[in-house]
Amino acid sequence: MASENAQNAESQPEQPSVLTRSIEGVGQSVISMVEELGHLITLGVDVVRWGVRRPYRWVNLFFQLDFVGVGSVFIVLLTGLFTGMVFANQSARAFAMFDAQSLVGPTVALVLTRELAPVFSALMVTMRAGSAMCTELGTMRVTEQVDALETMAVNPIQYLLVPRVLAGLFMVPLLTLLFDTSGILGAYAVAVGTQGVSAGTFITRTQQWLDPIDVYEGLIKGAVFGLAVTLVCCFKGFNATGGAKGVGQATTEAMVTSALSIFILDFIVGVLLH
Amino acid sequence: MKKLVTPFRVGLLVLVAGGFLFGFILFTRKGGLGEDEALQAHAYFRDASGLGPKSRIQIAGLPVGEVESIKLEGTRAKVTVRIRRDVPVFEDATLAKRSESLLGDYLLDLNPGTEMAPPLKEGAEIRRVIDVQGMEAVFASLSQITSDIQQVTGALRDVLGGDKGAGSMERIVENLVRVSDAVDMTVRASSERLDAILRNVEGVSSDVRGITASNEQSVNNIVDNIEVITRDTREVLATVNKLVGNGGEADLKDSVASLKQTMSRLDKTLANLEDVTTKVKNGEGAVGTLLTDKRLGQKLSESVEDLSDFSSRLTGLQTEVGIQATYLMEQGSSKNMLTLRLAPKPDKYYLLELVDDPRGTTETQYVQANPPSSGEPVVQKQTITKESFKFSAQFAKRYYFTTLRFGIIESTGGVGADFHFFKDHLKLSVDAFNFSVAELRYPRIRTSLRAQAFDRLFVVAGMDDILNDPRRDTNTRRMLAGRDFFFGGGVYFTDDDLKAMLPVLPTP
Repeated sequence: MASENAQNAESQPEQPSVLTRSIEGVGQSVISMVEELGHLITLGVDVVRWGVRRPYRWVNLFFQLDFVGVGSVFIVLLTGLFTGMVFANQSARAFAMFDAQSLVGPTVALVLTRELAPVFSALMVTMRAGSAMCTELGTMRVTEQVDALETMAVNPIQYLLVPRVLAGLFMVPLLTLLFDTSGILGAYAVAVGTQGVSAGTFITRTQQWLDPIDVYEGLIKGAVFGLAVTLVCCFKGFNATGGAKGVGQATTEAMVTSALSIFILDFIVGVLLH
Repeated sequence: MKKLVTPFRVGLLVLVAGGFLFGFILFTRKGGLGEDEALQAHAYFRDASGLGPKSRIQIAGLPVGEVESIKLEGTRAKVTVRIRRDVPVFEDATLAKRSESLLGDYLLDLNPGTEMAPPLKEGAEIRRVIDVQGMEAVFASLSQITSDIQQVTGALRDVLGGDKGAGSMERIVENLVRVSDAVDMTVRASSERLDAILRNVEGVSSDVRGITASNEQSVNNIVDNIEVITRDTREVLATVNKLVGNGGEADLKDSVASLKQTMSRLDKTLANLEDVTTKVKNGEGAVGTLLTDKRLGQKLSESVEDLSDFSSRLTGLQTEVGIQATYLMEQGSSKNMLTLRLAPKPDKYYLLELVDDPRGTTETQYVQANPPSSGEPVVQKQTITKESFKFSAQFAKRYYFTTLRFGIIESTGGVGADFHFFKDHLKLSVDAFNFSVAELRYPRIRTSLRAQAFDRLFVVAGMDDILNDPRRDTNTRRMLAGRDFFFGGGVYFTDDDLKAMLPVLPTP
């Protein structure tokens, strides 16, 4: 009996401890993330490579510019307007505590142009256009339409991904400018209209503190975010597996990854620019 | 259609966003203080904290420049600034750093200096610098005050602190209690006498008040009389002192006698004057009529007003006398002009000209060619051209940079216009006249450009009779019509010049 138990123990592999399994899980996650980042970068390089090669898909490009840019104008203007209004309202109350309401204008303008405008514009594009891109590409992938394109000797990266990534790269900075403008106008309306800040003070101090370089910084960030967001969404959709559920899963991952990448890149680009 | 709409929408978005970017750049552009527009200077600060590139420089709260750069030189900060050239800054200018608010917003206040000092040159140093101003000075004062208070409280602590201090405080308080008790007892003991004294004082004051109240008018009169008496006395004493002075009593008698004579004459004079004024009042004589007749007075008033108006116009009239000579290239001779310009207002003037024109004047005569007794008269038309003076008389009115003229131009009806440029130093003139001369197909159109090269001197060039074909007199080859170029110059004198010249001109 004793010898039988010994034989059973030898035949079953030894189970790792909980601590070992936890460390393995962390390691596996890191490896997956690094792998995914590598695939993403590889895809980005492919997009650049296929983007400069003929034939140029102008119709596809303009369609995506229209979809990403023009289609997001209203939501970006609305978001910018209310962001500026809320920010002006709160900052005016805070500055009123030490009689410095004259700083409302420059504070709102600087925060909007440097940070909020590119971040919120990219988030709006992610939610509105990025999710649609990911779902569309994922559906094409799981229904083998991408394979069909390859069968017809059409490179799917050049045909599907390049116009979308270029649209994000070019359109998010433009949307950032719209966000800047509507946000500052909203802040002006609230600060001057309801918080008693003089119009001349608002304009003069904003003009005094705001530099073109602040606007340029927002545009650079917008371009970086636009590129990252569309690349992530295309990557997730392009590599979706597992039918409709897999497409949904890929879209969720695309949204989360895009939002995270916006905030991480915001920090990195901010450090690099200063 | 979709293919067209999509690029249009994208293009529209790009244009709108580009417009916003352009607006932002214009809005945030700072001052435009380039080398042409701003003077560069520098100053050394011991403490330049809070200052940075583009920090404002202001005079009386208005921005006049900005900080260009800040560099460390030795132990001091070299602050290079740019100040607008239209702001006069002198070598004794002062730069003062001050905090604009509690939040540490620093700027530089510029005192541009005095005009007695030479103007600040490009790249020069502003030597007068004040490092600490505003809130920093306040904080420094507060720090000093706090230190003083600490010293006072420390001294009090030394005096009153500890057991010894506590004992001293206790004794002080005890002494204060005793003093207050003593005062209280004294007041209580003397209260009856104090009451009696106060009652007496009250009674006296009540009596005085009753007297003054019942005889208030009398008291006032007494006071007034006293004031008058003292004033008269002072004047009499001063007069007597002046009269008596050095002459003594005899002089005083003579003076009084002379004074009596004078008074007598004065009485007679006053009687005569009264007689005259009575007659005037009754409307007798010319003066009386003038003063008492309302209609005559009104007419006299209107006449005076008219005279005043005329004299003010006459004195406001600006006169300008000019001479102009031009050489006519096709004609081969010169044309001379004497001009009198009378300007009652700056925007209105009358122009009188006497013109010696080589084209001369043309007269048409009808002459009977056959003897009067030879039947049906044969009438011959003769056109005679002769050299004679022409005159111009025009009225001109100016609107902004345009002056419109009309009247007689070179002895015929005409109109003209002048266009003034460069603060009236350049004038483009167009004249049209000779509308009714049958020999000319078109009216005579003349354009000229007049430039004032120097003060009171001008040059002129232009083209005369632009539209008509050339036509010359068969005998004299004198040019009668047709395009002709001319150039020349002239001089003119204004009121001030004439006033200056007239006194030095020889009198016949």
